[in-house]
Amino acid sequence: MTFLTLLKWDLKQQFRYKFWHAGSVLTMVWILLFKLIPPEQTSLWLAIVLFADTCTMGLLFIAGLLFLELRQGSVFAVAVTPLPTHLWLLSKIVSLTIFCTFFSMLIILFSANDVDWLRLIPALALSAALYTLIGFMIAAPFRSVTSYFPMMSLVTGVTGLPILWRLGLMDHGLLWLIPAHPAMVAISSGLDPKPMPEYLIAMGLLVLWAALAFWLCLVSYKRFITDRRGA
Amino acid sequence: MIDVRSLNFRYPKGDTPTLRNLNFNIQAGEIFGFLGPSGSGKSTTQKLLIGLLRNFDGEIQILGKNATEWRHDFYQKIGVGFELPNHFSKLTALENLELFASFYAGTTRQPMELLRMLGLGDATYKAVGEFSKGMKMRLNFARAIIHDPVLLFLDEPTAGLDPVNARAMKDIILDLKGQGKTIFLTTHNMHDADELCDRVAFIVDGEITQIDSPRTLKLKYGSAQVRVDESSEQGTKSHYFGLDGLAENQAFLSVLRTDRIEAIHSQEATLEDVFIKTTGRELRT
Repeated sequence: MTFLTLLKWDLKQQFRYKFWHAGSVLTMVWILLFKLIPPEQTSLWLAIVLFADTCTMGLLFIAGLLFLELRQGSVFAVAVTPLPTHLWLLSKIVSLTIFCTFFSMLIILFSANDVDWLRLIPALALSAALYTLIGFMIAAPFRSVTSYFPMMSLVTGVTGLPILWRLGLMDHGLLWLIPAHPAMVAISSGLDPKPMPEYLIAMGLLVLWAALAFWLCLVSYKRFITDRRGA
Repeated sequence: MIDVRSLNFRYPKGDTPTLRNLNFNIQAGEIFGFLGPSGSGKSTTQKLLIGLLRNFDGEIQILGKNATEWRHDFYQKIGVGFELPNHFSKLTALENLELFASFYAGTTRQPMELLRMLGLGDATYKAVGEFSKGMKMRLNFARAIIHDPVLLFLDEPTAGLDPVNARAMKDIILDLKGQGKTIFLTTHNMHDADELCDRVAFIVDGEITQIDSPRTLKLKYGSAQVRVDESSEQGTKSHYFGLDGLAENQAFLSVLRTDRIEAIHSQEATLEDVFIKTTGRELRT
């Protein structure tokens, strides 16, 4: 099994679950809304929408996928094959990262003209990966979207604080302690001219947070999925 | 093949141990049945043997190694059929088998051949979400044997199957035994266990109470009888006689001399009778 084969199967299933249909509808709504925003405010709101959209999609869709696989039992069927858990998880994360980044790029393509794609694409991809990982980690103890929703709302609230920074309502060094802050800084850096060192620091922190989250996801998988009930 | 010694297990939030001091071994090429009512610890034992649950006390030797030493290559050698269906419901039967086959190194069995063997040939391109429970169970089985494992764990393999498909499934299991495969069968269906297993273990409340061949257990704890059905004015009347000394049993002979006999049947204790007698519990509770 190559990783690309696994990724292909995950993308195929997400398409059949109509994740891509839902993403298309949501993206169309955002594109239409941006047509109503004055051009001078597009950049400000685009960063917030990309950040919030990536956050919501990452937290929600990975949880939906996990609950579906738990309900149909396929998680356990895969657990008793030679496929290493980290590859299984990585494929889920990468496929949803592709999903989130693709729709974010569509929103940008139809709503803004002068953007730095070389900064934006890696920033969007890493932000999506981080949120998808956080989503998996916090969804693992739950068994349905309904029971997961309060936790998701709490995490969304805390990680949404960088929006206040983007709006100029809050600017404190402690914000860098929130994993979502470098995501907002990196995305903003692709829309407005910002110093390269700030962008690189934000990207470096995103990589570190994502690596930590990946490890915590593997711990969550073992503790809350296989160890708790086996199959 | 499998050697379990002093196995104890308690779930992290459990008040009482789920398994208490289990000891058993399974030889290569054997079908070993684990019989017990729901909640007795059958599935937990299977999960420990296949490495889905850990943190147990005691020792499990499996395929020549301590269970704790095995890593993911262990799953190259074993096949697992769970009690409940475990598939990707949006994929077709063929896609499910192709996906699972891709997880294994080396040559695997042909998915189409397996689907035909299990009577699922017509459902090859159908999404598994549209399958009946019986069809899903047969696909479960196909998935468990797609990589031709030497050791097979089957949890209630005939659950949800109609009699024809249950028969076919049991024939395939016996065929696998004929090929030298070792099978750990978890069930509360005493007919399946009696028919398929070389030896069975009775488990109740996490403890093994008996281990032996079904025939030995029936001979040890049951009594063979002859039932004679005699017609009478009140309807059919059944008489029971023990096989011992039957030729000199005057009551039996006098019934035989009447001209009202409707049927004569030989009877032996069922495995379920033995289970109830030795454990005081019923298998289906």
